[in-house]
Parts: sequence; C-alpha cells; structure tokens
Amino acid sequence: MTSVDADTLVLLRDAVGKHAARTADGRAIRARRNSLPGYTPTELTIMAEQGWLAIGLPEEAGGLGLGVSAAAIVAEGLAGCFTADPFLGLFLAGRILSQAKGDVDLLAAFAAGDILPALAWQEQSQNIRSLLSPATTLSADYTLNGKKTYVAGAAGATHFIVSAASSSGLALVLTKADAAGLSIHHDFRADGTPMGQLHLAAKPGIVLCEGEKAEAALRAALDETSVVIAAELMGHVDQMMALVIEHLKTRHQFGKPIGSFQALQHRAADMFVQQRLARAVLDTNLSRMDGLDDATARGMLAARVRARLNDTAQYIVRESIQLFGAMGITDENDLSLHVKRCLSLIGWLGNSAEQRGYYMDMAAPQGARPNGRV
Amino acid sequence: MAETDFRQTLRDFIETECPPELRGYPHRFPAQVSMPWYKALHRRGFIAPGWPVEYGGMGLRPERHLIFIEEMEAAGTPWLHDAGVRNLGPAIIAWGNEAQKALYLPKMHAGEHIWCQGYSEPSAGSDLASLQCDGRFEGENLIINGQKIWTTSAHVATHIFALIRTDRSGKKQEGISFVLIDMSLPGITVRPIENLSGHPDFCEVFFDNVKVGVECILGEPNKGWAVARSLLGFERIWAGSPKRAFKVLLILRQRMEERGLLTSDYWRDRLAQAIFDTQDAQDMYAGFADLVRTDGAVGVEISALKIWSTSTFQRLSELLLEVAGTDATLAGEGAEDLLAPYYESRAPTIFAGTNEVHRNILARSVLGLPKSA
Repeated sequence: MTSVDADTLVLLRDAVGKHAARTADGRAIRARRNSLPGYTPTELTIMAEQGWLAIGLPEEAGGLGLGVSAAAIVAEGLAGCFTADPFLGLFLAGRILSQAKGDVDLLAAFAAGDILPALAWQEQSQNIRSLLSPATTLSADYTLNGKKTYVAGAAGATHFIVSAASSSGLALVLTKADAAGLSIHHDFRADGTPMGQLHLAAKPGIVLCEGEKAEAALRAALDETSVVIAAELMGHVDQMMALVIEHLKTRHQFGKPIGSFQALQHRAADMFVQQRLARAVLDTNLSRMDGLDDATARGMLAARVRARLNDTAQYIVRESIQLFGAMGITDENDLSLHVKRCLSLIGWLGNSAEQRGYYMDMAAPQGARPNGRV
Repeated sequence: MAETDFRQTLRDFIETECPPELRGYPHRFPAQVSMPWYKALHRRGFIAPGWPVEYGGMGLRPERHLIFIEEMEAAGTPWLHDAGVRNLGPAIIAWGNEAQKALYLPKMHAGEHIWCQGYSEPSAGSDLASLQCDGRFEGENLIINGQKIWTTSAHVATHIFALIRTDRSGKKQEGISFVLIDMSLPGITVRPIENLSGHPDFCEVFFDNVKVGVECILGEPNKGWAVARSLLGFERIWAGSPKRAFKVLLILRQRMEERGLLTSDYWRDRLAQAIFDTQDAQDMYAGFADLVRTDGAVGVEISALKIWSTSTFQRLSELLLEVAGTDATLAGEGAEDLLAPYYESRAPTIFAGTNEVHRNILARSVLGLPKSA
C-alpha cells in the first residue's frame, strides 16, 4: 500500500467525523443487537459511496490505493458512532483480494459494495501465531472440507475467502456463499454483532493464490487489519475519556464536583497517561507502516501497536466504569456501548498475550540465536 | 547520512575513544574519571547533540537524537556530569546576552566548566516557588546567603545555576533571579549526601555572604522564574527520556539469555512486555522531543511522558531482580551490581517534579478538572 499526503487524510478524518456525529444513535445500536447481519443496509451504502470500502484496494481496480493510515482514520472515526462494523471485516477481505491480485472485476464489484466477501482463516485451535496450518483442506478436485470459526462479516457475505491446506501448501480459496456444501452458524459477540462458523463439505471454490504468496498475503492482511482494529480501539478510548471527564466535572458529591478530589484527579491523570501513550504509539507506527516494506518489521510493529491499544482499552474500560460508579454498570449509559465494543475487539486477531508471543516469534525465534533486536 | 552510516560512525567513535574500563558502570563516575570521554565528545562535536550547530551542537532531529542515545547506551558509555550542556546551555542560548554566551558556552562545551542545578531547598521541594535562598543587591553585586539541597553533582561542579530570592514584595513566583555562580568563590560549602546506592550523587550547598556581580544574572533580575520555566521543557524531556529504561532492557535481555530463560514462554512474555513498554516510551519521547526542538516549549502534556518513562524504568529494574533470582539479594560491584538499576530508578519518579505533581498538572491543566477541594 502506498502512503498519502496529509491533506487527503485531514479531509477523510473530517468526513468520517461528520458521518459519526450524524449517525451516532445508541438506541439503534441496542435495538439491533443479536440480529443479522448486525448493521443496516444504509450504513453499507454510505461506506461504499464515501469510498471507504475501496480504501485498501489498488487504484487500477477502482480503489483509492491508500495506506493503512487511511483505513485507521475511518475505523477510529467510526468509534464515534459506537462501531466500525462492517468496515473492519470488509477491509480484511479487501486486503486479501488485493494482495492475491484477484481479478479486477471482482475488486471493482467489491469497491461498489456489490459483493461482500468475508475472510475465513481461523479455526478453533488457531491464533495469529499459527495461521499457516489449517485443518481445512482443499482437495484435488478444488473442493473445501473443514470448519472455520470467528468469521467477521459472515452474515450478509456473498463470498468467502477460505484458507486451506492444499498440495501446494497454504491456499486461499474463493467460494460463493450459496448453500451448496456450506452451512453457517452465527455466534454473537459481546456487542451483539455476529461472527460466523462455517461448515464446509465438498464446497467448490477457486484458488486465489497458494504457497508462499498465500502465506504472505494472509499475514500482511491480518497485520494491517490488526492495526486498524487498534485504531478503532483508540477511538473508543477517546470517547470513553471524554464521557468520564465530563462526568467528573458535573457529578457532585459532598457539595463539590467529584473531579475536584485529588484521589480521582490522579486516577484520571493516569488514564490520560495511557491515552496519550497509546496515541503516540498508534500515530507514530501508522506512518512507519505506510513507508515500510519488510514483512517481519511490519509484523513486529503491528504486534506492538495492537498490544498497546488492547491494554489501554481494557484499562480505560475498567477505570471508566469505576469512575462512573453505579452508572458505569448500567446498559443505559452510552459508556456501555464502548465497553462492549472494546470487549468484542480486544480478543479478535490477537489479544495482548498473543501479540507478545507473535512478536517474540519474529524477534527471537525459539532455539535460534536472538538477532539482537530488542 | 543514512541511519546505518550514522550508527556506524558513532560505533567507530566509541570504539576508538571510550576506554573499556569506563563502560557499563551503573553509576556516575567522579568527574575526573569520566573527563577523558567528555573531552573526546567535545573534540568530535558530539557533546551537545541537541544544541544548534552554530553553538557547537549537532542540531539532531529527535529520531536521530534517539539513535545517538541508543548507541551510547548500547555501548555502555558512562553517564556524565552534563547538567550544563543538557539544561543550562539551551537557556543561555535563549536568554543570555552575547557576553554570557561567549563566557559560558565554549567552556561548558569543553568540560572546563561543570555545572550543577541549584533549585530545591529544605523547605522548597514540590513547592519550589517558595524558595528562600536570599540575594541582596549591593551596588553592582549580589550578596547570597542560604542553602540549596538535592543538588546533583555539586561535589564535582565548578559552577552552579541557582534560583535566588532577590525580592520579597510580590507574589512568590516574582522576585526570583536566575544566577550563574562560580563555586570557587569564598563562602560556598558543599556537603555530599550519600544516596541509597551508597554513592554521593547529590549534595547540600551552603552560601555564606557569597558575592557575585549582577552580570551573573541570566535574563532580567527578579524574572528568573520565567527563565526556569522555559527550561522545564528541556528538563522534562530529559527526565522523560526512555534511555534509562532502555539501558535496563539491554541488561535484562542479556541476563535472560545467560540464564536460558528465553526458552520459557513465561519469561519470553515478560521480556516482550518490557520491550513494548520501552519502545512505546521511545515513540512517545520522539514526538515530544520534536516539539521541544521546534520551540523549546512542549506544553503540559509532557507530564504524561515523564510519568510513563520513569515508572517503566522502575518496573524494568524490578523485573531484573526477578530474573536474577537469589543473586538479586547480593550486593555486587560494577556491572554485576543488579541492585544499581533498582536504586537508580527510585530518583526519577521524584526529581524534575514528583510524578504526583505531574498528575496534578495533568488533572488541572490538561483535563481541566476543578481546583482541588
């Protein structure tokens, strides 16, 4: 992906911010919990019209050819309307299609929102450190057999991109979401949005890429999406901080605003330290990633950024609930929407322990002499 | 210069000029011991990486400055008595007249003048503006009486820059002068204070009718608080530097390898956490350093960096003791002294504004919370 000039990013941030302010509706979010597909058709249309779905696609395919920074701005801004869905899942699928050099018609249809692919890479026993060894297989007759889990965007998907073991190593296989050979079960995340389980039985598909190319494409798309998830978490951190600081200023006890008590001021100050640290880590490394080609270096950056944002989000969630008192444990408080969204994101594509393990796999492989990177 | 060339230049220079017996020592050496290294940095123009080039600095951008620090720490070069080049130099460049620049900057650069900072007093710590060390004008002279304390490097310094109360009629922040004092003058007594690690690093300084000329005042008389405040950016970026934590990280990694701990998922995870905390501090530092470099003023958010870097330094020093197992109970010597980083990491959460004062600043000035009850 290429980097872009700062002006483009400012305009993008502005557009996403306006959209979020216009559409933030806690009641609507609550009303569609535990339903399919977990977003409204209007939202999808707007994302396509605004060009956000095309952000990660190459320009020759009608995409914007923008860097991870641009996708991060969209995800972060959409936290203002409580969720970046279905953007994240589509970004992930779009990056796979782009890197697999899928045919241009397919990418153009994707950019327009006419097809909705979802990536199905993960299985119960896999995490980001073990993505290259799926139990799902691609047979010689190009049919898929196996079970995939945690598929974001499975509800409403028109296509799936399935990772499978083939005679040529790892294969990324495109298959239609029609019923032949496929059944889907939906689980719901903490925020009430769905993730699919796929049962593939002699499901026919076409190979997008295989071998090292497939491994590289999958790895890169997951690293990039992980950082975009981190950006959405940053947005929620900022939103929660704004809510909690406002509460400290306006809530009175003992005849004073509770924010005048030093015990609470110091807790709020420590929250700011983490917020500011997370911001520095996210922004610094987004610019780095835009200009960095080395896959290992990108993976190491992604792991560090994501771990920081996971930890910061979890900490700000905990402290925000506490500082809101009983109001913090009600669903009615819009804080709850950020809390549940954070819980839905933190463990997806790598919690912090997995990120640290992933990082060490690259920085100091077991059994090998450490390469001196610290 | 490409980054790899820059690193290689530094490595070659260190290899040639920094004697092995000075490397990896976890405390500050006495000035005469580390002076050959100071002089070598001076000769090569490396002693003041942050100063503008016209004053003999390197004018380094923050990312380069970090690389400079990384290479120095990785090679275990000794910590210097460098409050002058680090802290006072930028203030003289900003506030000094031509005579002061000509008199002080070259000698500071050359290591002929070693400076210490005289701010705190027994009754003026976090509440620094209540300082009482007295300065009385007599014609063209200023007569100083009183005491400073926690003055780092005073026992080896040739000069002290001190905040002196020269007027008592207004608000406490008014009536303070920023005075540059030659410590060989009659009436100055220095008493070193042994710290937790058993090393004298800070001192008490007593002034008994010490007479200096008014040309030793930096900036205007009675306006020294503004000079001191303008230095806060530099002081805080220094106090918030991740270099101390980075140094411990290198030792941690080496110890873990030596003890074969990196085959354990548990210890690998602990190391990764330490790496992330330190590298994240470096990212934060680079952003603030950029602001300091641009206009010397970073705004109040830099308190967040100070809190994070210093607490990370402490966490890593405690992790090092965990890694060492029972060895951590032994009082060692030199680089073997694993307790040194532990002791060294206690001061930074206290100096340059305690972390609690910085939390007050964040709560009031950044978050806009109401005045404390």
